[in-house]
Amino acid sequence: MAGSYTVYFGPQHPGAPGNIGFKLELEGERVVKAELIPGFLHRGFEKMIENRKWENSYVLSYRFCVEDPDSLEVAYAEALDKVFRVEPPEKARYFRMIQAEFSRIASHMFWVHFMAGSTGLRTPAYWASAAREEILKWFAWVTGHRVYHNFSVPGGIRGEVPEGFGERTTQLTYLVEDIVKDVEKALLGNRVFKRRTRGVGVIKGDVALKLGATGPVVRGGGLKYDTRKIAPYERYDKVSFEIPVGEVGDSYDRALVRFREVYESLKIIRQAVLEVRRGEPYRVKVPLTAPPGRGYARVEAARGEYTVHVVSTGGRSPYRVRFKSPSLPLLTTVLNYILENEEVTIADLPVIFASLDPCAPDIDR
Amino acid sequence: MVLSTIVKSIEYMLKRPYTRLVPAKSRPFKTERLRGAHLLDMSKCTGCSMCQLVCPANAIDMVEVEGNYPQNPRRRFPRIDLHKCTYCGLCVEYCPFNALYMTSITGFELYTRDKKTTLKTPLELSKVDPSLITVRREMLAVKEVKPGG
Amino acid sequence: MASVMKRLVNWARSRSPWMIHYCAACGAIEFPMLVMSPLDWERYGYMPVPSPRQADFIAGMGYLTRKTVKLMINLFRQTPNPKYVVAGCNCTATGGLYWDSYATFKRLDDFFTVSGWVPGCMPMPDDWTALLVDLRRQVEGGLKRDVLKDFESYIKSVEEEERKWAKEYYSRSQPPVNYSFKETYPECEENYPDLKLCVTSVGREKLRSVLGELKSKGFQLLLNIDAVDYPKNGVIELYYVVENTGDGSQMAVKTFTPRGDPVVESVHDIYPNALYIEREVYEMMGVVFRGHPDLRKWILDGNWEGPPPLRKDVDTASYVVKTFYKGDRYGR
Repeated sequence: MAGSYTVYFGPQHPGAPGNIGFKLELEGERVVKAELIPGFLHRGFEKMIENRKWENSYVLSYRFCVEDPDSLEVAYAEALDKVFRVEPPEKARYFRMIQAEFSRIASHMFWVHFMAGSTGLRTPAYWASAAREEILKWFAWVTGHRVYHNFSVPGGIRGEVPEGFGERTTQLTYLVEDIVKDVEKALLGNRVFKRRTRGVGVIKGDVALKLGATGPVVRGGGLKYDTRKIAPYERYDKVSFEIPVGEVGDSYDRALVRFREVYESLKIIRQAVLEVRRGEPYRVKVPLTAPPGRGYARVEAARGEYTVHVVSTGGRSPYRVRFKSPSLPLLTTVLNYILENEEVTIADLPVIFASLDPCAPDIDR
Repeated sequence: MVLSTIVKSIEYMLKRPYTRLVPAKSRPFKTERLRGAHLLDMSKCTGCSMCQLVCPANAIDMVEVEGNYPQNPRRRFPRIDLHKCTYCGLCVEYCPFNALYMTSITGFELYTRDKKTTLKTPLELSKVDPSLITVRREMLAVKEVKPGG
Repeated sequence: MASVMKRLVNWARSRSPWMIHYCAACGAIEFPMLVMSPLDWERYGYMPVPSPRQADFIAGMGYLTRKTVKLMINLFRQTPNPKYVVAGCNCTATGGLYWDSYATFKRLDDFFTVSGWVPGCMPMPDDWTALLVDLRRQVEGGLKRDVLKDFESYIKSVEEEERKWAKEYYSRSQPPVNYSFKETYPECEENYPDLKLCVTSVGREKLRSVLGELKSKGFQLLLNIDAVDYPKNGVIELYYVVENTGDGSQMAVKTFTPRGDPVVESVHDIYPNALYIEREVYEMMGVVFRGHPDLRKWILDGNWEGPPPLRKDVDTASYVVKTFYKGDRYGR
């Protein structure tokens, strides 16, 4: 009988989900309990935004999840629309959807590195990086920056879309779809991958919801739960798309759900692109001082439901901004639920981390 | 299933390489609206310090410059710390006199072994090649639309 | 002969610099582009390596939170000589956008000598290539190894000052409560039909029973606990945002606690993830949750020793400017 001992895992570890640590309690090779050690990425966004003014606070609003910044950008812009009580033009609404969906795809493609890396496969990761690169190039073409775009602002979007926007965007969706299909075949069709992920990290959707998780973790567990459907924001009620769900709720199902989601996102983009035309108004001017009140937005980011709560007491700066982190329950309650109900060895742990796909800076902020 | 991956890999091997060979020559990541280092038009700047006020990173400080600038009696111009800037373009957007631009100069051209070189004085900022300009104020400034529509 | 040997060694070294695989911050997001097909750094001989004992250099990628810097120093000490430090992103050089962040150190060269700087936020993959090409050239030319500077007394003095501030902050008396509050539960105080959000208010004694009742009604998902500090009124408002998993409607249960006695009952037995959210609210806002089994510093542990930073009367920005920028907020 092997004794029980404690091991520190991460933050400098290729299998750790970002710059974040764990204190693992082991019995032999089995992991019994994992205690999260966060704080390596804490910058204090909620305090820093209070020091900024309304017109430049959005530069900070999306920086704490670098893999999926646009969902957060859209959420903050929406919340400030509510504070200023302005209605952005239709074109901006549709463009924000395109932006958020491309960001979701880019985030899922980044996750392929993680997932493929932890199961020992390199080829799908290389192909996925090509898909992500094409999307980032599109972002640089439209917004002027690859990763942090600064494009969805209170009152609409920041500039006119470039010439030939519709054609190039539609073309890109087909190009990305081709690559993603290859990646899916290479990753999900691989026998090694199936062996490593089937039956590992099982959690049912309704259990995950009770533990605070949202997003692909819940949908992989067989529950149709998506903020884009239950409380549509922007113009998600005007486009048609499906919510892909898994059956068992293991790591394989979560991977499957993410790939299916990419196809649905591409479908949304193809519909939304038709509504973004050059020459239409794209932005409403917002004043420099805000009226007192409350702004609240909920969006479906790549990792789950994400909310922003802005409190304004008038004046030039936000009084208080509070972000909800979709990743926090994944690495605390959900992870410990899996460890309690399953025999997880240390070799399976990176696979489970990757399949939950947490965003470490989002926990610390 | 693995076979199809292998076939695909061989297909890729026969195609043109995806890797950019020499980024210094091919400039693979530059686009027409890339937000890079700034250009200052010293004949337009009036020293109103709007850019300083709006900068989220505190990268812009107003400093005095020798010389004769009739539109700017106090001779105060922005000094931009490119090692603090986040390249959000707010200074360009809020400049009321159209004096600031952004160019396609990014870290590739700004790379340095001594970080003192990235603190750009107004004179240095005004000597940037204007053909590199990518972001102008017209691209970012708000077109007047009535709230509600 | 010796010099030829030396040049040969330098040449060999420059052809295989290995980086510690430590993606410390957001600058690491462009590394896959660099490592994989788009720019493929292996043609320069670079490689990420998990163990510092086989590495040649460490890269600062983005903001340096205090905890991360301590870890980086640790990694640097384990790396064999000759070892190099390079810095990408603006935050490693001057603090960048996070100039007023209380949890980050502002300059990497306070701790190490640094061999190359890439400006940019975020630097694009080809910006990183500029660094790699130059580092290779420098190593071939016989670059001297980078060394640690005297950091211990610096970190200690910063932390000491914060502890002093915390002591002084807690000894201050709290303002009296001057706050009008009306209990509206189960009716909504504010209603946002397009968001399916309803804000209701309830006294803090009844909070637990109300949340228990809501959970049995279908509000099974606790999204967040939002705390808003009002020093003028002497209270901290708390919003427990719960979501009905049936129809997706949300309820924000508002309550308040006086700043002089910020105690609320813990709800971690009703909502399991409250255990962690409450811990975060405790360290950031100083609200004590009675019945919480493990209330301690968590995210701020190692990052901040002062008073609860999110309180409105804790002015961290001017403190940071005074401590890290010598009073000049536009300086470096």
